[in-house]
Amino acid sequence: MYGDLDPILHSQVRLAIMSILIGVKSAEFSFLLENIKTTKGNLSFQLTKLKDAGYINVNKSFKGSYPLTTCQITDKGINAYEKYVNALDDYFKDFKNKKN
Amino acid sequence: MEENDKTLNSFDESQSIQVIKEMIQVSQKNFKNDGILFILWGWLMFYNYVSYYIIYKIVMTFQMKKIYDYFGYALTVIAIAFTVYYVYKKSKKVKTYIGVSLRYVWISLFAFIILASIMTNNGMLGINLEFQHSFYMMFIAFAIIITGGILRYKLVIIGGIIFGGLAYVCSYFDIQTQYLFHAAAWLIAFIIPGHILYSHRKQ
Repeated sequence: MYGDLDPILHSQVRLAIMSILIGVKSAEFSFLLENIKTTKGNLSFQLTKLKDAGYINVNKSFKGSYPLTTCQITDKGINAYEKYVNALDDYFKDFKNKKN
Repeated sequence: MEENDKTLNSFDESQSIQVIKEMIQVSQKNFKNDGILFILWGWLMFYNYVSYYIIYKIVMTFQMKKIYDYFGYALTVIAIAFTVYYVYKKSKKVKTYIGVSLRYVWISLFAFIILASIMTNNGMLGINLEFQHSFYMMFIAFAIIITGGILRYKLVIIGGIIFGGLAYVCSYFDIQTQYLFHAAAWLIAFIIPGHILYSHRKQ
């Protein structure tokens, strides 16, 4: 793994969650589950990890008698995501240079 | 859960790019406008303005005119109810910045048109009622161009520019002819782009 990549974001499911949340105002748990190929349990676990890192806000409420989980990216999350994408860019530039 | 993290360790940089690309596609799919509201409001307003023109041109009994008017009001109420339901249903699982921006544009337009109607009915202002259509059309053209810009859809932007052009042109005509210009403007800026968007919705 490339040294500068944030280990919290360098995970398939967590990166997928962040890649969706970066482009929207907020998304419900069911929307994330529909679009990310994972199980309910794993999605829930990865959301907690992102929340603990301060990258997302998770709001739990009720819609009628059903629980409703809504996720929103934080400023810290946006910065981390930008840094991650820049680090990836650097990685591929290094790779290209080494190849040449 | 630990197992999940173990499998993630084998996740490499090129897979990261793949995940980002896939999720961008998810967002784009969600941002795509299916044109349903363009079609609904386009046809409704087209019908309304063509019928206003017919009412002026054809001699009708008072009762017939009343029925015609109530039918128009009923259609508008149904369209508003459908729009509220549709927007609520669409934003149920995910709220996009595009959706939020468009809501602000059209709700504020609706509010300003009501305000403008109240102001022009105030005799103190002395505004020529024949200019009302041109002014309202300019407001709507402004909102259409912003909508096209937000959706990054050129046809809607062009429709908005034509809508604005027709607003200017119709200010030279009498009120009956203005109805026809108004109907043509809704056809060009809403119905045509709406049907094109709808036909592209699954692509």
